[in-house]
Amino acid sequence: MESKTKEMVFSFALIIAGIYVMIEGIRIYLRAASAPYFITEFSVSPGLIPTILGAALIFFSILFLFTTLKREGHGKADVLKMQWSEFVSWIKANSKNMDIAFTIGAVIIMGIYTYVLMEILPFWAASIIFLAAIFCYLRSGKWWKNLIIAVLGVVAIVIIFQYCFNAALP
Amino acid sequence: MAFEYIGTAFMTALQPFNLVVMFLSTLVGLVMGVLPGLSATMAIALLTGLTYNFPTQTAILSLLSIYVGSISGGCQSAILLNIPGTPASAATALDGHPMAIQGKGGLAIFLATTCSCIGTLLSVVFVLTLTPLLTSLALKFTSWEFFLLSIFGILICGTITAQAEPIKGWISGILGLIVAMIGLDTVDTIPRFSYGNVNLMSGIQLIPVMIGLFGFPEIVRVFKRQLDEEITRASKFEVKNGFKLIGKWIGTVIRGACIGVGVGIIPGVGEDTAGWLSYWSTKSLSPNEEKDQFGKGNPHGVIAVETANNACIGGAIIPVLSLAVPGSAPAAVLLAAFLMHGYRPGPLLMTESPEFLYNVCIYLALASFTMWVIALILSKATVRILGVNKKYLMPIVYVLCVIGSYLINYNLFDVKVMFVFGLLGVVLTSLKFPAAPFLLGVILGPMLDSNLRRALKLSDGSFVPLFTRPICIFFLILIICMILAQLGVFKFLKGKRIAD
Repeated sequence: MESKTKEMVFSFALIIAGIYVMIEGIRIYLRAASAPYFITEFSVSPGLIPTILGAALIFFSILFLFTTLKREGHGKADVLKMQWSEFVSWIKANSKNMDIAFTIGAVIIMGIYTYVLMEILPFWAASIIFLAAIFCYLRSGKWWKNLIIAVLGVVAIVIIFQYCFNAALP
Repeated sequence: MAFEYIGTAFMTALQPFNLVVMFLSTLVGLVMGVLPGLSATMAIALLTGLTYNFPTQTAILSLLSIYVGSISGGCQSAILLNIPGTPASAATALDGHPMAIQGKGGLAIFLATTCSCIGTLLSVVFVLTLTPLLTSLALKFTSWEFFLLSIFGILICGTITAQAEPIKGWISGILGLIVAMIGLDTVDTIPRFSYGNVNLMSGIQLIPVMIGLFGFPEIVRVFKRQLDEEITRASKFEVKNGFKLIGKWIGTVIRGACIGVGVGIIPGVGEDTAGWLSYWSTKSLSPNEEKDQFGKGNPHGVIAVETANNACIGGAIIPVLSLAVPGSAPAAVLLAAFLMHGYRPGPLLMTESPEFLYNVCIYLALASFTMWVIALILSKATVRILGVNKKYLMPIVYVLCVIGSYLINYNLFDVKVMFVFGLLGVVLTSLKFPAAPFLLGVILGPMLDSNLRRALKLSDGSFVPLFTRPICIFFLILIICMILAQLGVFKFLKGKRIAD
């Protein structure tokens, strides 16, 4: 996908985020104005800065969107339509792109390590499984070499941190 | 009193344990700097968590050594591989690599390492003289000035790091400020964006955000990148010739140091900018017959870049110590580390802990000497280090990222936060949004929020003091001019005047 199209999609996401932050800022103000806080003045309310930041994000995102849409020889509506069709075709094309799929796969393995393995297993076990799995996935070397490096890597980390730095690992 | 502090700092640094830590930290920094993809920011971010259990002075010494080592190490891969180890050494490759191809790789590494050491040492002089001056100026600041200073810092950082599209830098800064709003607010302890989650109520920790934003994208990049690396071997150092060349171009060394410190003081502008600026100024000021030699293996270029990028270290630390506003991305991480170890940099630093300034200066000077020795020894092994398979290295680096995030609070929630910000970092990097303003936003968010609200409380909700205080007016003019200039208003008005 052309970077302009990606930027356009991202600027829409930023505008939505800005609207959310602004609304949340107002909600914080309303909460602070009620019991037990009774901060009724908006200028000293904890909702002031989030509201301003939300508004600033919307303003700059719209400005960014306009600079992205600046293309010679097209009206803004044409460009929007064109960019959207580019985006859809990019999604279709990249669903078959092996390089992106491969990277996403590696990130998923990192996510499983962070959110699942670290929660249920001790650090050393989770890390050996993660390293061995990702080395094999990345085709870093032969499986036995991957396993040896994973075990040695984790052992070295545990020795350095747990025993040399006296840090408690999860 | 100053001499007493300097003496104490020397004694602390020269304790056997601290010497070992300084040696190892510089070595780790150098190795991380040598390896393309591991930046100075990532090196400090990653190891900050690991220094958590160290005594305070040892931790500060360790982090400064890593900073000096990682900025200096980048030149070796730039010279031997034509791939800068860190962005700071990007300009070194222009003349350093052609020198290596001509069989002068050893001389190029010697010049780069020696000038890096001299650059850091000269910047220490600036830290010692400028920090107290800037601190005494900052004592005149009230809440209004600090509020405007935070906005100014984020704007200028966004402007310079995003280069052609400052709006991307500003948006990145705003996103960072929004993240800083998460948790109990600092004035009335009212929860914001925490959705009843106890972990979110205590706010988002800086270190996991930093590791995620700077480390994660570099790790992910290796998964899809196949580098066709051709490493040139280093030749002999030619020490005598090297010192002769440095003596010949001593003016360039001093100019490079001044440029480095000047660029470093500007919030958010990094060592890479300093290197490029010094290279450009040296080339511009050279005689015509020498100008043609730049980019073809001119040692003058290597000297200019390496002095400036290392002098930027001291420059970037000056606003950290005096204003609590970081001068570069690695300095932002360093600021967080100082806070984590119980120091409160800012206008009150010289009153509350005056010894800290001298400690930092002495540690920087000793670290630069250590770096010089180790870097020259290490250059013999650089070819081997550069040959490490990144597909083995980067997953192990991710495990270190996990540990670095966990050790801040001994909480797995911070590891999850690191992963989320890592994904955000990947998105920002792919869209060419700079991460440095985001980080600066997270750092300056609480300062901006609490100072504005405190100022408004004192003025009964009136914004009038913002337009009546001289320093405020100065900052306001700067901010407005910067926004208008970047939005092209001045260019438009100039064009209109010419058309009329």
